[in-house]
Amino acid sequence: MEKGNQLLIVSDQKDDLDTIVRQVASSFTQYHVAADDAKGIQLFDKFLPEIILVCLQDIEHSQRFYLGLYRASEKIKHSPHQSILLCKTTESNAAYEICVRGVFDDYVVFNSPYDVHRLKLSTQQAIEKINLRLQLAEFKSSAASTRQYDGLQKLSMDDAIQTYADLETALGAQLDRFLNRMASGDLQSSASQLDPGQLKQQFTRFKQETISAELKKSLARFTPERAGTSVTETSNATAEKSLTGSASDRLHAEADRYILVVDDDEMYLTILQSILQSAGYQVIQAMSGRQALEQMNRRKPDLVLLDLNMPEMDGIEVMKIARSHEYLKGVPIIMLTGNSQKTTVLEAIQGGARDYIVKPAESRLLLEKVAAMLERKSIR
Amino acid sequence: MTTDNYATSAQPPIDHAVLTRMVGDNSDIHRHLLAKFISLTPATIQQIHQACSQQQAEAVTQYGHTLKSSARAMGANELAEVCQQLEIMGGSQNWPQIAQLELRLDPLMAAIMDYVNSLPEK
Repeated sequence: MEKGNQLLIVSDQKDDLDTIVRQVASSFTQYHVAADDAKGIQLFDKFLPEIILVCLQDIEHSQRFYLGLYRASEKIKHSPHQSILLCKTTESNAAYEICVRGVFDDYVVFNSPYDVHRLKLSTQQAIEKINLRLQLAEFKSSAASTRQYDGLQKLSMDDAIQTYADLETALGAQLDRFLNRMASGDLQSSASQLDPGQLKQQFTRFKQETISAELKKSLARFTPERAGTSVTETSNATAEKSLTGSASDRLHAEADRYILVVDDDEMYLTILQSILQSAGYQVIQAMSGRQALEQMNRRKPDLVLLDLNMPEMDGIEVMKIARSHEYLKGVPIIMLTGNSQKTTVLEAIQGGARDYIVKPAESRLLLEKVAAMLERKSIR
Repeated sequence: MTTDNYATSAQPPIDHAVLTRMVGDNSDIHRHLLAKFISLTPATIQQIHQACSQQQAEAVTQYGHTLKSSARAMGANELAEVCQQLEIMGGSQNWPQIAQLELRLDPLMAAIMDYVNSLPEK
Protein backbone atom coordinates (compact mmCIF):
# COMPACT_ATOMS: atom_id res chain seq x y z
CA MET A 1 0.00 0.00 0.00
CA GLU A 2 1.22 3.51 -0.85
CA LYS A 3 2.37 5.71 1.97
CA GLY A 4 0.58 8.95 2.62
CA ASN A 5 -3.04 7.98 1.87
CA GLN A 6 -5.53 9.70 4.11
CA LEU A 7 -9.08 8.71 4.93
CA LEU A 8 -12.04 10.85 5.93
CA ILE A 9 -15.00 9.10 7.54
CA VAL A 10 -18.23 11.06 7.81
CA SER A 11 -20.79 9.39 10.04
CA ASP A 12 -23.33 10.58 12.56
CA GLN A 13 -23.73 7.11 14.09
CA LYS A 14 -21.13 6.36 16.76
CA ASP A 15 -21.45 2.57 16.52
CA ASP A 16 -21.01 2.66 12.75
CA LEU A 17 -18.02 4.90 13.13
CA ASP A 18 -16.32 2.47 15.49
CA THR A 19 -16.98 -0.41 13.11
CA ILE A 20 -15.64 1.46 10.10
CA VAL A 21 -12.50 2.50 11.93
CA ARG A 22 -11.93 -1.08 13.07
CA GLN A 23 -12.31 -2.44 9.54
CA VAL A 24 -10.36 0.01 7.40
CA ALA A 25 -8.36 2.56 9.38
CA SER A 26 -5.27 0.35 9.57
CA SER A 27 -4.87 0.68 5.78
CA PHE A 28 -4.25 4.43 6.05
CA THR A 29 -1.44 6.65 7.27
CA GLN A 30 -3.99 8.91 8.91
CA TYR A 31 -7.73 8.92 9.28
CA HIS A 32 -10.11 11.66 10.33
CA VAL A 33 -13.66 11.40 11.53
CA ALA A 34 -16.47 13.91 11.24
CA ALA A 35 -19.85 13.55 12.89
CA ASP A 36 -21.57 16.29 10.90
CA ASP A 37 -21.49 18.11 7.56
CA ALA A 38 -19.64 21.20 8.69
CA LYS A 39 -16.87 19.22 10.33
CA GLY A 40 -16.63 16.98 7.25
CA ILE A 41 -16.09 19.98 4.97
CA GLN A 42 -13.58 21.51 7.38
CA LEU A 43 -11.57 18.27 7.63
CA PHE A 44 -11.63 17.71 3.89
CA ASP A 45 -10.19 21.15 3.16
CA LYS A 46 -7.56 20.70 5.86
CA PHE A 47 -6.30 17.20 5.04
CA LEU A 48 -7.40 16.63 1.42
CA PRO A 49 -8.02 12.93 1.96
CA GLU A 50 -7.78 10.54 -0.97
CA ILE A 51 -10.71 8.44 0.24
CA ILE A 52 -14.03 9.60 1.74
CA LEU A 53 -16.43 7.16 3.36
CA VAL A 54 -19.87 8.63 3.95
CA CYS A 55 -22.26 6.86 6.28
CA LEU A 56 -24.95 9.23 7.49
CA GLN A 57 -28.37 8.22 8.82
CA ASP A 58 -29.66 7.47 5.31
CA ILE A 59 -28.34 7.75 1.76
CA GLU A 60 -30.33 10.91 1.13
CA HIS A 61 -28.39 12.65 3.90
CA SER A 62 -25.15 11.15 2.60
CA GLN A 63 -25.81 12.39 -0.91
CA ARG A 64 -26.78 15.83 0.36
CA PHE A 65 -23.58 16.01 2.41
CA TYR A 66 -21.34 15.06 -0.50
CA LEU A 67 -22.98 17.46 -2.96
CA GLY A 68 -22.82 20.13 -0.24
CA LEU A 69 -19.12 19.39 0.19
CA TYR A 70 -18.70 20.01 -3.55
CA ARG A 71 -20.42 23.35 -3.26
CA ALA A 72 -18.73 24.48 -0.04
CA SER A 73 -15.18 23.23 -0.42
CA GLU A 74 -12.76 25.44 -2.26
CA LYS A 75 -10.30 22.63 -2.79
CA ILE A 76 -12.30 19.55 -3.68
CA LYS A 77 -12.37 20.15 -7.44
CA HIS A 78 -8.59 20.11 -7.53
CA SER A 79 -8.12 17.31 -5.07
CA PRO A 80 -8.37 13.83 -6.63
CA HIS A 81 -10.22 11.44 -4.35
CA GLN A 82 -12.53 8.45 -4.35
CA SER A 83 -15.88 8.54 -2.59
CA ILE A 84 -17.65 5.53 -1.13
CA LEU A 85 -21.25 5.58 0.04
CA LEU A 86 -22.16 3.21 2.86
CA CYS A 87 -25.79 2.14 2.85
CA LYS A 88 -28.28 -0.27 4.37
CA THR A 89 -29.37 -3.43 2.55
CA THR A 90 -32.74 -1.84 1.79
CA GLU A 91 -31.03 1.15 0.20
CA SER A 92 -28.79 -0.75 -2.20
CA ASN A 93 -30.91 -0.08 -5.30
CA ALA A 94 -30.98 3.65 -4.63
CA ALA A 95 -27.26 3.62 -3.79
CA TYR A 96 -26.55 1.92 -7.10
CA GLU A 97 -28.54 4.62 -8.94
CA ILE A 98 -26.63 7.37 -7.14
CA CYS A 99 -23.32 5.82 -8.19
CA VAL A 100 -24.51 5.36 -11.78
CA ARG A 101 -25.42 9.05 -11.82
CA GLY A 102 -21.82 9.72 -10.87
CA VAL A 103 -22.32 11.25 -7.44
CA PHE A 104 -20.29 8.62 -5.56
CA ASP A 105 -17.63 6.35 -7.01
CA ASP A 106 -18.80 3.23 -5.21
CA TYR A 107 -21.19 1.96 -2.57
CA VAL A 108 -20.98 -0.74 0.03
CA VAL A 109 -23.84 -2.37 1.90
CA PHE A 110 -22.54 -1.71 5.36
CA ASN A 111 -22.30 -4.37 8.01
CA SER A 112 -23.75 -7.09 5.86
CA PRO A 113 -23.34 -10.38 7.73
CA TYR A 114 -22.93 -12.09 4.34
CA ASP A 115 -20.06 -9.96 3.13
CA VAL A 116 -17.97 -8.73 6.04
CA HIS A 117 -14.88 -8.00 3.93
CA ARG A 118 -16.60 -5.86 1.31
CA LEU A 119 -15.79 -2.48 2.88
CA LYS A 120 -12.13 -3.30 3.31
CA LEU A 121 -11.85 -4.59 -0.26
CA SER A 122 -13.66 -1.58 -1.75
CA THR A 123 -11.44 0.78 0.21
CA GLN A 124 -8.28 -0.94 -0.96
CA GLN A 125 -9.46 -0.86 -4.57
CA ALA A 126 -10.24 2.84 -4.17
CA ILE A 127 -6.72 3.47 -2.90
CA GLU A 128 -5.26 1.66 -5.90
CA LYS A 129 -7.41 3.69 -8.26
CA ILE A 130 -6.47 6.98 -6.69
CA ASN A 131 -2.78 6.19 -6.69
CA LEU A 132 -3.00 5.29 -10.34
CA ARG A 133 -4.74 8.57 -11.06
CA LEU A 134 -2.10 10.53 -9.17
CA GLN A 135 0.67 8.83 -11.13
CA LEU A 136 -1.15 9.60 -14.36
CA ALA A 137 -1.62 13.22 -13.32
CA GLU A 138 2.11 13.51 -12.59
CA PHE A 139 2.89 12.09 -15.99
CA LYS A 140 0.49 14.49 -17.69
CA SER A 141 1.86 17.42 -15.73
CA SER A 142 5.37 16.69 -16.99
CA ALA A 143 3.99 16.94 -20.52
CA ALA A 144 2.28 20.27 -19.82
CA SER A 145 5.11 22.38 -21.20
CA THR A 146 4.87 20.51 -24.49
CA ARG A 147 1.17 21.21 -24.62
CA GLN A 148 1.85 24.93 -24.23
CA TYR A 149 2.99 24.84 -27.82
CA ASP A 150 -0.46 23.54 -28.76
CA GLY A 151 -1.45 27.16 -28.38
CA LEU A 152 0.24 27.80 -31.69
CA GLN A 153 -2.30 25.58 -33.41
CA LYS A 154 -5.03 27.97 -32.41
CA LEU A 155 -3.39 30.86 -34.20
CA SER A 156 -4.68 32.03 -37.53
CA MET A 157 -2.28 31.94 -40.46
CA ASP A 158 -1.73 35.72 -40.23
CA ASP A 159 -0.89 35.43 -36.55
CA ALA A 160 1.52 32.60 -37.28
CA ILE A 161 3.30 34.57 -40.02
CA GLN A 162 3.55 37.59 -37.76
CA THR A 163 4.93 35.45 -34.93
CA TYR A 164 7.56 33.98 -37.22
CA ALA A 165 8.52 37.45 -38.48
CA ASP A 166 8.83 38.69 -34.87
CA LEU A 167 11.02 35.74 -34.04
CA GLU A 168 13.29 36.42 -37.00
CA THR A 169 13.62 40.08 -36.07
CA ALA A 170 14.34 39.28 -32.44
CA LEU A 171 16.83 36.61 -33.35
CA GLY A 172 18.51 38.90 -35.85
CA ALA A 173 18.86 41.63 -33.25
CA GLN A 174 20.31 39.22 -30.72
CA LEU A 175 22.75 37.88 -33.30
CA ASP A 176 23.87 41.38 -34.16
CA ARG A 177 24.54 42.08 -30.49
CA PHE A 178 26.42 38.78 -30.19
CA LEU A 179 28.57 39.53 -33.22
CA ASN A 180 29.19 43.10 -32.03
CA ARG A 181 30.37 41.77 -28.69
CA MET A 182 32.71 39.37 -30.48
CA ALA A 183 33.98 42.16 -32.72
CA SER A 184 34.58 44.48 -29.78
CA GLY A 185 36.51 41.78 -27.98
CA ASP A 186 33.95 41.15 -25.23
CA LEU A 187 33.93 37.45 -25.99
CA GLN A 188 37.53 37.31 -26.99
CA SER A 189 38.83 35.62 -23.91
CA SER A 190 36.47 32.69 -24.27
CA ALA A 191 36.07 32.72 -28.04
CA SER A 192 39.79 32.69 -28.66
CA GLN A 193 40.04 29.43 -26.80
CA LEU A 194 37.14 27.80 -28.63
CA ASP A 195 37.60 25.67 -31.65
CA PRO A 196 34.98 26.10 -34.45
CA GLY A 197 32.95 23.10 -33.13
CA GLN A 198 32.69 24.57 -29.65
CA LEU A 199 31.82 27.96 -31.06
CA LYS A 200 29.02 26.37 -33.07
CA GLN A 201 27.70 24.64 -29.94
CA GLN A 202 27.70 27.89 -27.98
CA PHE A 203 25.98 29.67 -30.83
CA THR A 204 23.32 26.94 -31.13
CA ARG A 205 22.59 27.09 -27.38
CA PHE A 206 22.32 30.86 -27.58
CA LYS A 207 19.94 30.59 -30.54
CA GLN A 208 17.72 28.06 -28.74
CA GLU A 209 17.50 30.21 -25.62
CA THR A 210 16.57 33.26 -27.64
CA ILE A 211 13.94 31.44 -29.66
CA SER A 212 12.45 29.87 -26.53
CA ALA A 213 12.18 33.25 -24.76
CA GLU A 214 10.62 34.92 -27.81
CA LEU A 215 8.23 32.06 -28.38
CA LYS A 216 6.97 32.31 -24.80
CA LYS A 217 6.46 36.05 -25.22
CA SER A 218 4.59 35.50 -28.50
CA LEU A 219 2.32 32.83 -27.04
CA ALA A 220 1.39 35.08 -24.16
CA ARG A 221 -0.08 37.58 -26.64
CA PHE A 222 -2.73 35.21 -27.94
CA THR A 223 -6.07 34.63 -26.31
CA PRO A 224 -6.61 31.01 -25.46
CA GLU A 225 -9.82 29.20 -26.40
CA ARG A 226 -11.62 30.30 -23.23
CA ALA A 227 -11.38 33.90 -22.20
CA GLY A 228 -9.70 34.39 -18.84
CA THR A 229 -7.84 31.10 -18.93
CA SER A 230 -4.13 30.95 -19.59
CA VAL A 231 -2.74 28.40 -22.00
CA THR A 232 -1.14 26.55 -19.11
CA GLU A 233 -4.42 26.46 -17.20
CA THR A 234 -6.20 25.16 -20.27
CA SER A 235 -3.63 22.43 -20.61
CA ASN A 236 -3.98 21.46 -16.96
CA ALA A 237 -7.75 21.42 -17.23
CA THR A 238 -7.48 19.18 -20.27
CA ALA A 239 -5.13 16.92 -18.37
CA GLU A 240 -7.56 16.66 -15.47
CA LYS A 241 -10.50 16.00 -17.76
CA SER A 242 -8.66 13.19 -19.40
CA LEU A 243 -8.39 11.43 -16.06
CA THR A 244 -11.77 9.87 -16.46
CA GLY A 245 -13.48 7.21 -14.43
CA SER A 246 -14.04 8.96 -11.13
CA ALA A 247 -17.29 10.42 -9.80
CA SER A 248 -15.43 13.58 -8.83
CA ASP A 249 -14.33 13.93 -12.45
CA ARG A 250 -17.90 13.64 -13.58
CA LEU A 251 -19.07 16.20 -11.01
CA HIS A 252 -16.21 18.44 -12.04
CA ALA A 253 -17.12 18.01 -15.70
CA GLU A 254 -20.74 18.79 -14.88
CA ALA A 255 -19.65 22.03 -13.26
CA ASP A 256 -17.87 22.91 -16.50
CA ARG A 257 -20.97 22.39 -18.64
CA TYR A 258 -22.12 25.59 -20.23
CA ILE A 259 -25.82 26.03 -20.84
CA LEU A 260 -27.48 28.86 -22.71
CA VAL A 261 -31.03 29.64 -21.57
CA VAL A 262 -33.21 31.73 -23.85
CA ASP A 263 -36.56 33.24 -22.87
CA ASP A 264 -38.08 36.68 -23.23
CA ASP A 265 -39.47 36.38 -19.70
CA GLU A 266 -36.79 37.64 -17.32
CA MET A 267 -38.46 36.00 -14.35
CA TYR A 268 -38.46 32.58 -15.93
CA LEU A 269 -34.84 33.06 -17.00
CA THR A 270 -33.94 33.77 -13.37
CA ILE A 271 -35.76 30.62 -12.27
CA LEU A 272 -33.96 28.49 -14.84
CA GLN A 273 -30.64 30.01 -13.89
CA SER A 274 -31.21 29.30 -10.18
CA ILE A 275 -32.12 25.68 -10.84
CA LEU A 276 -29.21 25.01 -13.18
CA GLN A 277 -26.61 26.88 -11.16
CA SER A 278 -27.60 25.09 -7.98
CA ALA A 279 -26.88 21.86 -9.87
CA GLY A 280 -23.42 23.15 -10.74
CA TYR A 281 -23.87 24.21 -14.36
CA GLN A 282 -22.54 27.41 -15.86
CA VAL A 283 -25.44 29.43 -17.22
CA ILE A 284 -25.66 32.31 -19.68
CA GLN A 285 -28.94 34.05 -20.42
CA ALA A 286 -30.39 35.54 -23.58
CA MET A 287 -33.71 37.39 -23.72
CA SER A 288 -34.31 37.22 -27.48
CA GLY A 289 -33.53 35.05 -30.46
CA ARG A 290 -30.98 37.55 -31.72
CA GLN A 291 -29.17 37.66 -28.37
CA ALA A 292 -29.21 33.87 -28.30
CA LEU A 293 -27.46 33.61 -31.68
CA GLU A 294 -24.91 36.21 -30.60
CA GLN A 295 -24.17 34.28 -27.43
CA MET A 296 -23.87 31.01 -29.36
CA ASN A 297 -21.41 32.58 -31.79
CA ARG A 298 -19.39 34.04 -28.94
CA ARG A 299 -19.08 30.74 -27.15
CA LYS A 300 -20.51 27.43 -28.28
CA PRO A 301 -22.78 26.10 -25.52
CA ASP A 302 -23.00 22.45 -24.50
CA LEU A 303 -26.77 22.75 -24.48
CA VAL A 304 -29.44 25.35 -25.24
CA LEU A 305 -32.79 25.67 -23.48
CA LEU A 306 -34.82 27.69 -25.94
CA ASP A 307 -38.25 29.22 -25.49
CA LEU A 308 -40.55 28.51 -28.40
CA ASN A 309 -42.79 31.51 -28.03
CA MET A 310 -40.80 34.74 -28.31
CA PRO A 311 -41.61 37.99 -30.11
CA GLU A 312 -39.66 39.02 -33.25
CA MET A 313 -37.69 35.79 -33.66
CA ASP A 314 -39.30 32.70 -32.18
CA GLY A 315 -37.53 29.56 -31.01
CA ILE A 316 -38.09 27.64 -34.24
CA GLU A 317 -36.46 30.39 -36.27
CA VAL A 318 -33.48 30.56 -33.90
CA MET A 319 -33.12 26.81 -34.13
CA LYS A 320 -33.22 26.83 -37.95
CA ILE A 321 -30.49 29.46 -38.11
CA ALA A 322 -28.36 27.57 -35.59
CA ARG A 323 -28.85 24.31 -37.50
CA SER A 324 -27.73 25.94 -40.75
CA HIS A 325 -24.31 26.85 -39.31
CA GLU A 326 -21.67 24.15 -39.36
CA TYR A 327 -20.26 25.45 -36.06
CA LEU A 328 -23.57 25.28 -34.20
CA LYS A 329 -25.55 22.52 -35.84
CA GLY A 330 -24.45 19.84 -33.39
CA VAL A 331 -25.45 21.81 -30.29
CA PRO A 332 -28.41 20.04 -28.67
CA ILE A 333 -31.48 22.18 -28.12
CA ILE A 334 -34.31 21.53 -25.68
CA MET A 335 -37.38 23.55 -26.56
CA LEU A 336 -39.33 25.24 -23.78
CA THR A 337 -43.01 25.42 -24.58
CA GLY A 338 -45.98 26.89 -22.78
CA ASN A 339 -48.15 23.88 -23.56
CA SER A 340 -47.86 20.21 -24.47
CA GLN A 341 -50.19 20.28 -27.48
CA LYS A 342 -49.15 17.73 -30.07
CA THR A 343 -48.78 20.30 -32.85
CA THR A 344 -46.49 22.47 -30.73
CA VAL A 345 -44.33 19.54 -29.72
CA LEU A 346 -44.18 18.22 -33.29
CA GLU A 347 -43.23 21.64 -34.57
CA ALA A 348 -40.36 21.81 -32.08
CA ILE A 349 -39.08 18.31 -32.82
CA GLN A 350 -39.41 18.71 -36.58
CA GLY A 351 -37.54 22.01 -36.31
CA GLY A 352 -34.57 20.15 -34.84
CA ALA A 353 -35.14 20.17 -31.07
CA ARG A 354 -33.84 17.04 -29.37
CA ASP A 355 -36.43 17.28 -26.59
CA TYR A 356 -39.01 19.62 -25.13
CA ILE A 357 -40.05 20.82 -21.69
CA VAL A 358 -43.44 22.25 -20.83
CA LYS A 359 -43.07 25.43 -18.79
CA PRO A 360 -42.92 25.82 -15.90
CA ALA A 361 -41.02 22.59 -15.36
CA GLU A 362 -40.27 21.15 -11.96
CA SER A 363 -36.58 21.28 -11.12
CA ARG A 364 -36.24 17.49 -10.90
CA LEU A 365 -37.63 16.96 -14.39
CA LEU A 366 -35.63 19.83 -15.83
CA LEU A 367 -32.35 18.58 -14.35
CA GLU A 368 -33.06 15.02 -15.45
CA LYS A 369 -33.65 16.13 -19.04
CA VAL A 370 -30.59 18.37 -19.02
CA ALA A 371 -28.37 15.63 -17.57
CA ALA A 372 -29.69 13.06 -20.03
CA MET A 373 -29.11 15.37 -22.99
CA LEU A 374 -25.57 16.22 -21.91
CA GLU A 375 -24.84 12.56 -21.29
CA ARG A 376 -26.08 11.68 -24.78
CA LYS A 377 -23.97 14.47 -26.23
CA SER A 378 -20.82 13.25 -24.50
CA ILE A 379 -21.43 9.67 -25.67
CA ARG A 380 -21.69 10.92 -29.27
CA MET B 1 -65.70 36.39 -6.60
CA THR B 2 -64.79 40.01 -5.81
CA THR B 3 -61.35 41.45 -5.43
CA ASP B 4 -61.89 41.65 -1.66
CA ASN B 5 -62.19 37.90 -1.51
CA TYR B 6 -58.70 37.60 -2.86
CA ALA B 7 -57.24 40.23 -0.61
CA THR B 8 -58.61 38.53 2.49
CA SER B 9 -58.22 34.94 1.33
CA ALA B 10 -57.16 32.55 4.06
CA GLN B 11 -54.77 30.82 1.69
CA PRO B 12 -51.35 32.44 1.43
CA PRO B 13 -50.90 33.87 -2.06
CA ILE B 14 -47.74 31.83 -2.58
CA ASP B 15 -47.84 28.06 -2.38
CA HIS B 16 -44.40 27.09 -1.09
CA ALA B 17 -44.93 23.45 -1.95
CA VAL B 18 -45.15 24.44 -5.61
CA LEU B 19 -42.09 26.64 -5.29
CA THR B 20 -40.17 23.76 -3.73
CA ARG B 21 -41.13 21.43 -6.56
CA MET B 22 -40.10 24.06 -9.05
CA VAL B 23 -36.74 25.16 -7.72
CA GLY B 24 -35.83 22.87 -4.83
CA ASP B 25 -36.01 23.44 -1.08
CA ASN B 26 -33.34 26.07 -0.57
CA SER B 27 -35.06 28.89 1.33
CA ASP B 28 -32.44 31.42 0.22
CA ILE B 29 -33.28 30.67 -3.39
CA HIS B 30 -37.00 30.98 -2.58
CA ARG B 31 -36.44 34.41 -1.06
CA HIS B 32 -34.25 35.54 -3.95
CA LEU B 33 -36.76 34.45 -6.56
CA LEU B 34 -39.78 35.87 -4.76
CA ALA B 35 -37.99 39.21 -4.40
CA LYS B 36 -37.26 39.15 -8.12
CA PHE B 37 -40.86 38.20 -8.84
CA ILE B 38 -42.33 41.15 -6.94
CA SER B 39 -39.83 43.50 -8.54
CA LEU B 40 -40.56 42.41 -12.13
CA THR B 41 -44.26 41.54 -12.13
CA PRO B 42 -45.78 45.01 -11.59
CA ALA B 43 -44.28 46.15 -14.92
CA THR B 44 -45.87 43.19 -16.74
CA ILE B 45 -49.21 43.92 -15.07
CA GLN B 46 -48.87 47.52 -16.20
CA GLN B 47 -48.34 46.29 -19.76
CA ILE B 48 -51.49 44.18 -19.48
CA HIS B 49 -53.45 47.23 -18.28
CA GLN B 50 -52.13 49.22 -21.19
CA ALA B 51 -52.97 46.47 -23.70
CA CYS B 52 -56.49 46.22 -22.23
CA SER B 53 -57.08 49.97 -22.37
CA GLN B 54 -56.00 50.01 -26.03
CA GLN B 55 -57.86 46.77 -26.79
CA GLN B 56 -54.71 45.10 -28.14
CA ALA B 57 -55.82 41.49 -27.94
CA GLU B 58 -52.55 40.02 -29.13
CA ALA B 59 -50.60 41.89 -26.45
CA VAL B 60 -53.08 40.78 -23.77
CA THR B 61 -52.51 37.19 -24.86
CA GLN B 62 -48.73 37.59 -24.97
CA TYR B 63 -48.35 39.26 -21.55
CA GLY B 64 -50.96 36.98 -20.01
CA HIS B 65 -49.00 34.00 -21.29
CA THR B 66 -45.68 35.33 -20.01
CA LEU B 67 -46.95 36.16 -16.54
CA LYS B 68 -48.82 32.87 -16.31
CA SER B 69 -45.60 30.85 -16.57
CA SER B 70 -43.74 32.88 -13.95
CA ALA B 71 -46.69 32.95 -11.58
CA ARG B 72 -47.11 29.19 -11.86
CA ALA B 73 -43.45 28.59 -11.19
CA MET B 74 -43.58 30.83 -8.10
CA GLY B 75 -46.64 29.08 -6.68
CA ALA B 76 -48.77 32.22 -7.20
CA ASN B 77 -51.62 29.99 -8.26
CA GLU B 78 -54.49 32.48 -8.28
CA LEU B 79 -52.52 35.00 -10.28
CA ALA B 80 -51.51 32.25 -12.70
CA GLU B 81 -55.15 31.26 -13.15
CA VAL B 82 -56.19 34.85 -13.92
CA CYS B 83 -53.34 35.14 -16.42
CA GLN B 84 -54.33 31.94 -18.14
CA GLN B 85 -57.89 33.25 -18.50
CA LEU B 86 -56.52 36.51 -19.89
CA GLU B 87 -54.46 34.57 -22.41
CA ILE B 88 -57.54 32.62 -23.54
CA MET B 89 -59.87 35.63 -23.56
CA GLY B 90 -57.28 37.66 -25.45
CA GLY B 91 -57.39 35.02 -28.15
CA SER B 92 -61.16 35.30 -28.45
CA GLN B 93 -61.16 39.08 -27.89
CA ASN B 94 -63.77 38.77 -25.18
CA TRP B 95 -63.38 42.29 -23.82
CA PRO B 96 -66.04 42.19 -21.07
CA GLN B 97 -64.38 39.09 -19.59
CA ILE B 98 -60.93 40.60 -20.04
CA ALA B 99 -62.06 43.71 -18.13
CA GLN B 100 -63.30 41.54 -15.24
CA LEU B 101 -60.05 39.61 -15.11
CA GLU B 102 -57.98 42.79 -15.33
CA LEU B 103 -59.65 44.08 -12.17
CA ARG B 104 -58.30 41.12 -10.23
CA LEU B 105 -54.65 41.64 -11.10
CA ASP B 106 -53.71 44.54 -8.80
CA PRO B 107 -55.29 43.19 -5.58
CA LEU B 108 -53.70 39.81 -6.19
CA MET B 109 -50.31 41.38 -6.78
CA ALA B 110 -50.68 43.57 -3.69
CA ALA B 111 -51.44 40.50 -1.58
CA ILE B 112 -48.37 38.73 -2.99
CA MET B 113 -46.14 41.72 -2.25
CA ASP B 114 -47.44 42.00 1.30
CA TYR B 115 -46.88 38.32 1.81
CA VAL B 116 -43.34 38.30 0.42
CA ASN B 117 -42.38 41.42 2.36
CA SER B 118 -43.67 39.83 5.56
CA LEU B 119 -41.51 36.72 5.15
CA PRO B 120 -38.91 36.52 7.92
CA GLU B 121 -35.40 37.51 7.02
CA LYS B 122 -32.83 34.79 7.30
